[in-house]
Amino acid sequence: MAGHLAVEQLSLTYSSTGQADTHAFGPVSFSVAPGEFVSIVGPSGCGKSSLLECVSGLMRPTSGEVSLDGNLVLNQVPPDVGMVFQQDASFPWLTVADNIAFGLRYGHDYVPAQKIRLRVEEALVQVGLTEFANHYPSQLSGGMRQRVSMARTLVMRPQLLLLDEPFAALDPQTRLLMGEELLELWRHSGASVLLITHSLEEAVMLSDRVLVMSARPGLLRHELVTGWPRDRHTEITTHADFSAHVNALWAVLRDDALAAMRMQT
Amino acid sequence: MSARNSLSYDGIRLLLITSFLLLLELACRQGWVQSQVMVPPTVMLTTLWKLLHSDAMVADIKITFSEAFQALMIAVVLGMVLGWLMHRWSRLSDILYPVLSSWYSIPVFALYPMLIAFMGLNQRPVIAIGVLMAFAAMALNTLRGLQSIPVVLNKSARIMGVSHFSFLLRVQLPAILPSLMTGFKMAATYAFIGVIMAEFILSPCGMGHAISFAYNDFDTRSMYALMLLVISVSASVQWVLIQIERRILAHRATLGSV
Repeated sequence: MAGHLAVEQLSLTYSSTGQADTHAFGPVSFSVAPGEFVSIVGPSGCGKSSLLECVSGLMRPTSGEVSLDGNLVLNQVPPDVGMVFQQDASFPWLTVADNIAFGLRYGHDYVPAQKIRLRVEEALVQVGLTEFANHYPSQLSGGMRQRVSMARTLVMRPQLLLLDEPFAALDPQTRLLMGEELLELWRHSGASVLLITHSLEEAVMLSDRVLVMSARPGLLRHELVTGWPRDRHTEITTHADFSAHVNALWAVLRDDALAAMRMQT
Repeated sequence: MSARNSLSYDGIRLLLITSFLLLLELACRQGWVQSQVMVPPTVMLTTLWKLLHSDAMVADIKITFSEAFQALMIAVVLGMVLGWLMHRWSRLSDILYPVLSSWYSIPVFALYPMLIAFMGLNQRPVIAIGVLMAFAAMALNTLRGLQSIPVVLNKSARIMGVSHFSFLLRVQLPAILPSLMTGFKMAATYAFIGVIMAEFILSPCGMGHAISFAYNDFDTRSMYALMLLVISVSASVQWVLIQIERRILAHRATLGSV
């Protein structure tokens, strides 16, 4: 099994003209084992999203190293990394099926048309959008559009799936359902997952391990191992340990969240 | 607005135009307006019909169309390339944006004598005026389109490993299609206006020249007939472009809405 992510002493400081340099996060070190589901939670503006972009290779960190299965990620996105964002990233001029096929058609490797068709059909089934294959994103709800983005990513068969608050713009019920689906897709694909989220419940419900980041500059403050079985569902929220885990995270995060809130006002 | 409402608005609009034309017809027929000043709309139409059967007039129309088309094509390519370059290099945009956004405050026609001096008394300065009028609208709309592409689409394409060329062709181009259509519609109008006006001032041929010739010749009938032609052509081109735009963009919502 591949998808072993190692992050070593990663930190980011960005400078914008006319302003003092901003120390976004770091140095942070952590790893994600092949097939593991890890979440990062932290107060607003702690640099979680920037951290994820540095891990993906979209952004160049100021210092430190990221490696995937032993290969350094250097300012270029490796082919076996997939990423889903909070914002709707579907292409409005393409149908659902063409959106999902996009990466296979124009992405890293050449895939024959016949194979693309099969893989798109498979992905449509996985996210339950078969009936909507020929619809355009504008005809879909927010949750369905996020499924399109998810399918578009999964169809590339990534070893590492990076999720930047993918459900944040959805209503709570859709969010819960999407979490359920995500667990299913994760088990099915065998990929490692690194999820960024604001929601402690979501993090505990979905993850094998939760990392807690402090307010800016973001540092890893705490690590929580949930101990859930791999074959888990949203009913895990009724497990005796669930609220204990959430409370433990909140105890660590409370002061930082308060500090972050004061910084913003 | 419901379909029924928009239909009744169309009806009201048609009624207004028809009553204006009828009033004009009446005013001319009754001699309230001198025939040297204004001719009845029906006379405009019959004169136009006759003109369209004269070879000289057809040649003039063809020349104007060909000049406007050439000007539009050059302006579209020039505008798109310039808009893209400005998006690619923000420093270029910093320098050029103020010039482009205030472009239409420059009286381009004042340059016409200079253009003739450089290019000679032929079709080229006419086309040049058309290009100068049209390219800025195309460049600005291309630039605005590119700037309004959500960052997340850019990131997604990079994650999927889309090459620079594919990104340009498969993401940027379709994403800015609505802006390009807006720019194209404006550029088409400006190119047509530019060409007709240039022909008006100093050109041996074309529709603009024909209008100005009729005017100098006290041929009021031909003058109004040609004005009617120019307005109808311009309106028809816009109508066709709007229909094309509607078809292309039928299923699109605003970009990046969640």
